[in-house]
Amino acid sequence: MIKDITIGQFFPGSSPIHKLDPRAKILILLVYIITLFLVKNFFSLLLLFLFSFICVLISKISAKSVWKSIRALIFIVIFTAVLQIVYNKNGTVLLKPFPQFDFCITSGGVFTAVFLVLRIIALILLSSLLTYTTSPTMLTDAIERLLSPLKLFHIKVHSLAMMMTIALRFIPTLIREIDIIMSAQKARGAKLDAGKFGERIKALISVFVPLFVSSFRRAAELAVAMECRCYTDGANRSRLKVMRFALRDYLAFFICAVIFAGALVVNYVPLCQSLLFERVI
Amino acid sequence: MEQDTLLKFENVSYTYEEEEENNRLAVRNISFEIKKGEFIVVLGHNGSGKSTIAKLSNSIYLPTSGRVLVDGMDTSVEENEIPCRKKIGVVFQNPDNQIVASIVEEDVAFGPENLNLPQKEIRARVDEALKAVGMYEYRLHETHRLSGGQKQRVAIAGIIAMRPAGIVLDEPTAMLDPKGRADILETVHTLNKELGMTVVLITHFMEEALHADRIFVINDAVVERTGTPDEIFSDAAFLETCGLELPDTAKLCLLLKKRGVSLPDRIFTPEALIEELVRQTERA
Amino acid sequence: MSLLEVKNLSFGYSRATPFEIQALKDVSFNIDEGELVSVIGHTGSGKSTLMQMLNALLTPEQGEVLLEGKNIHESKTSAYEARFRVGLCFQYPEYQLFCETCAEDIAFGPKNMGLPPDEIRERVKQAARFVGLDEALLDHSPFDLSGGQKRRCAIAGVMAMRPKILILDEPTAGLDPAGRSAVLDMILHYRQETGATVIIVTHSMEIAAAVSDRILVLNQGALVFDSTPAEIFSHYEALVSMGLNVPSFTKIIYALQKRGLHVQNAYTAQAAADAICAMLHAEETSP
Repeated sequence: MIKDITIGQFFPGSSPIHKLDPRAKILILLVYIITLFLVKNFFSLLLLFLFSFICVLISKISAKSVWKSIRALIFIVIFTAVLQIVYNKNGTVLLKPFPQFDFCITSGGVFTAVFLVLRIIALILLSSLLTYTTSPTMLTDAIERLLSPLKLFHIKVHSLAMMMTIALRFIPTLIREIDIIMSAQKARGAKLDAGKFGERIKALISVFVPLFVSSFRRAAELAVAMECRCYTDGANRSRLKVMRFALRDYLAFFICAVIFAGALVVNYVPLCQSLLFERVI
Repeated sequence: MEQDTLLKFENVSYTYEEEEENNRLAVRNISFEIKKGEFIVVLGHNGSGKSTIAKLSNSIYLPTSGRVLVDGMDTSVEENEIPCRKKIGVVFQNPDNQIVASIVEEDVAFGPENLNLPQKEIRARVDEALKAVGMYEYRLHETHRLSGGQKQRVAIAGIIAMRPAGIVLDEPTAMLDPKGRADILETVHTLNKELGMTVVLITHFMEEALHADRIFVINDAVVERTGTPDEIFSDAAFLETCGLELPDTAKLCLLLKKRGVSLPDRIFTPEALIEELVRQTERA
Repeated sequence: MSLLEVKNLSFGYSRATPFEIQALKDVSFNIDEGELVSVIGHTGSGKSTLMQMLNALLTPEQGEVLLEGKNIHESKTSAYEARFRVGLCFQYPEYQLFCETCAEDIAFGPKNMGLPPDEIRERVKQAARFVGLDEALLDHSPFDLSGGQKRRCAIAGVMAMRPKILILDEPTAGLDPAGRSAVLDMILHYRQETGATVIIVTHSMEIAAAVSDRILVLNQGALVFDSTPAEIFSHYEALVSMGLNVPSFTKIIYALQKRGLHVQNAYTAQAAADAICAMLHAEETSP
């Protein structure tokens, strides 16, 4: 159901991850994603995967919510895995189910499939953790500050951030509104969930027109309400929550740097790899 | 202008530009004066023009003719725009469309942030405002998960965090359930009685006007009558011509009088009626 | 056999999340042909969920809804037909208007039913009459109407399906006193003309008291009362504890009783006046 979407949701809490400066979280996530895509080595990936897993544990976000964010993208995960298993022809042949066809499952295919699945899940884990543990306003605030050098190029970073704040604030409201309008039109027989393609398109108009009308009304009312609270575009605004890097942020940077560097070293230095292989195998 | 007048309308007319509004609602040549600390209720049916008064009172709309003075400042003068809005905050009907941020305390901070106040001051004002409306425990909650009444209280907190002298509420209870409505009324009375804020409550619920200092009745774009609740509610015929009705207790009193019960004039709160009836039975 | 039989309905939202809500718990009741029933309950009591089950927009997790003896959730076809037989008008229905003219908007439901054009035209006119919408306005855009007219147009859109049961969710929300009584009069008029069964969902006790034959009270997903208004309003304290607002006349009578006066229960202005008069006469004649 449309109401059950959890991506972008925030679960207030007081874990060390919640308390990190959102700018630190964004920067760490960025470096993490880059590292994740640089590493080709299984041990490096495992290290990064464990890292994201431990972060989730520390954040005390419920397993259910984490699973939901993975489930939302499960199709992509499975699709990637199947594609690899079917098309990858590297390594030794593990299984050849139909002798008359060329199709076979190879060790390389299975290995790459597992590798890619782990990589995607590791990516989802840490990215969803960012939104789960950071309030939308703080997130947009952080982005605004990180992008503030762009002001030099006369880009209105503040207006962009305000737009993002409002967009994030209104997503749940609009989702609920769509839900109500859809139900109301279905109650008059609109074929939104069944029927021919043409009928569905027609039925969608009955949802989008009221949605647009109400969105414009909301926008107009919100603009007036913001003016009543002395908002003027571009004026200097102070903040309730001032962002200052604290000791824990530097500590987080340090730990992450060590882990990411470790992953890269294992990935790029051949000696490490052979040593690891000898130990394990 | 007198020192203790907060809001003054002088022969104010306002016409909507046609493309903006289909049914060219307006106010026509209205004048009134609201003193600091007063509790005013503006009554009128939908489309009577009562909501226009809210937007005129803090420089959102500028009068087509006449003047609006906020603490002596003319709202039409551009430099007065922000000072007027700091003096008089406005809360609207739909709480969903007034909340800017996803988290309660971040939303309440929006006004003070716009005033460019130091962080400590913002913190203090946000906490104070949330306590005043009884939403302090919810400061870290997500705004979209609150009930309508709670959202509306957050919207009120967002206004009082700017520490205005007066607050104008434009049908703040129209979209709420009875519980939410009662909570908002209590909050508004607290603001007036305990924080000494001037309150202008615009509504079409008669019961909300029972405890006002003065009532303005708006009909067809003009202020038809002003007076204390007992002056206004003793004229049922007049209210009906304005598309309004008597409060329930006053209705009951009228029926009792028709049945030959002798009641003093000007009873319109349940408490007063109950006391009177108890007195009558005791006398008997 | 009742027109509508609701048996042991249960339903929950957002299962397996921190925001899980048990919206309905084992709700059962019957509604007879031609009745006007009010369903009251505070926000979140499960009223809206229940209504969306009666026209098969939602499928219950447990229990069944029988319309003229047949389970409406039995198949996709029966669920789709149920939407036309049980017309559901949502809260603030004017926000769902979308056609270029009022007539087209009112015709949306009948068109989806697959009715012939002549029949549709006939129904649109009749529905407009029921809600008191001037025929001249039918060719106007619904967005040009006043708030009250929009509401009427939207309600007409549901009436035009000629449902056996018409359900209105908070039909008077946001209206002023004149608008409120106009909409209630309109509903009573519709019922008189068509003999249709009507269900009004509301949290206004005044409305429930004024118009209904029977009241159902929902609290936290459970059906706690199913009775006549007189009976319901005699449970003053229970209603207040459920966060419901009792009609102010009932409040006054209750306060008098608390003060030790012998006065009959009442929930409308007329009845309260009669009760108080009777009380005063009794006091005068007694020594």
